[in-house]
Amino acid sequence: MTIGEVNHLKWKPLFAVLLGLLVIGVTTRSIMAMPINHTQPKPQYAIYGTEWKIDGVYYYTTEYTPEKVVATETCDSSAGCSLSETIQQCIDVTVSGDLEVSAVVVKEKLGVSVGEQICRSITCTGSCNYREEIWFWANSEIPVKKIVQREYVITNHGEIATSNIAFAYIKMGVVPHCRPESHPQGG
Amino acid sequence: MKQSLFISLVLVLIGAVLFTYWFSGGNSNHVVSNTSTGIPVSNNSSKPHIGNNISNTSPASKFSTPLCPQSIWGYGYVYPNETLTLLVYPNINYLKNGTFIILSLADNFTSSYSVPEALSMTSSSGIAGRVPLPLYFRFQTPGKQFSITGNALLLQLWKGESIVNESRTSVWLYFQVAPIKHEDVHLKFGRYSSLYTSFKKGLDTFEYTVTITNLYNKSIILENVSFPLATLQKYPKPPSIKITSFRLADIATNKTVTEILPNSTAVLRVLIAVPSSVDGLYFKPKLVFKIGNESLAVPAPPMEYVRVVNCG
Repeated sequence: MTIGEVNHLKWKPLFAVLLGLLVIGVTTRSIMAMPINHTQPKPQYAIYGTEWKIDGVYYYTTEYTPEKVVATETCDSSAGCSLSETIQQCIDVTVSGDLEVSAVVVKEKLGVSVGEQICRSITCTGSCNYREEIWFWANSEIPVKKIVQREYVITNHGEIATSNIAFAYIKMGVVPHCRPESHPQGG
Repeated sequence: MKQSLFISLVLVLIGAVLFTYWFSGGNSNHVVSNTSTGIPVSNNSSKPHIGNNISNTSPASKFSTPLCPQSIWGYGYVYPNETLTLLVYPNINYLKNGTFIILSLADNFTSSYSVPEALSMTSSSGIAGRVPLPLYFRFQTPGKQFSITGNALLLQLWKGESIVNESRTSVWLYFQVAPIKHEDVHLKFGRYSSLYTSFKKGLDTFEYTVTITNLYNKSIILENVSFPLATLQKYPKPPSIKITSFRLADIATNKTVTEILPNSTAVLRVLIAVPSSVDGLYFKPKLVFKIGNESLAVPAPPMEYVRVVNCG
């Protein structure tokens, strides 16, 4: 059919039908676009339960263990010595505060298990003269992290964050430090 | 002619109605408000999400990107020659293919690590399956501004004499070097929040805190906390990273205070809103204090934000 053939049709009824359809369409859209009346029923939520999740982790503070002598060595060479000592420092991963998520979630998000032992080594080197001692002093830097947890309501429309927040503090790493100090033998 | 015009018009109108119907029906993304909590929730997912899906998000499969974050926006107000640190998180499995790592920023700043040395930092990462590697850099010239933009952060993985892998992170970093030296400022910054790793999708908020001790012999007032990334970065337009509030609080009671008395300490608390598109943020604001009748702009300690969920 071409446009020219329209003359032969009864276009007025067709136009009326089409116009009617248009009016129905526009009216339906208008109704749907109307703001939600407060008397209308609110969306129904099916609540499946609540769940604590980790929102994030702050690097909170650093604790330092007291410095102490962990090894001594004596130089027996008349030419003097360069002496080394490998020092290992360990901590157990511990959590304080309110831990609401499970240990499985901590492992999944942070990569450590509560109770797991973490060790790191460092080699300390110092020089001293004949018949001098080297004392190897060591301490550890322990980073503490603050775990921010939030309770979520799990619904059929997704998760709803609540204002219930809990903080836990986790010691999960160790950075050993050492320094050599020379002394006269027996000093 | 008239009839043709009418029919064409009607057809166009019908088409418009049908198009409107189709368009609005296919993209409904309403935000509903929970009446009990008042917190808006996007319901664009019709399937309820329950649990953490731990079984199908093992570290190896989840953290497939070699380097995290994949992009970093940031601004720093720094002292001349102040050593700055940018932490990036390579994937452990990715590093195991090599023996040596070179991290570089804009070919000007380089930090290097042996792979065993890097892997020994695994436990302190705070992100499963990744290690934190610091990249150190500094700027010298007082009063100057530096920008580092583009794919400028490069991690090269070496094995023996050859590079086995390279990975890049996009950065949009701006640094302004203060025209003052550290020793000219009689403020002591104590404990501060240096890092936040986020496990949230969507709009996020984190808090920057730092204790400030006033060593001047007069009271000081905090006038502003400035993070002018949006004015420094024009194209591409930076995401809307905003300081939503800041306040000074008493260190013991956490009540808001308007000034820090001589030889007293207060805590600065700044809330920063981060849109969903931001993976990484370097935040080292400029603090503007009023000391007597003078204003003094002071570099504050830095903080990094890393969105872990975008590292997959």
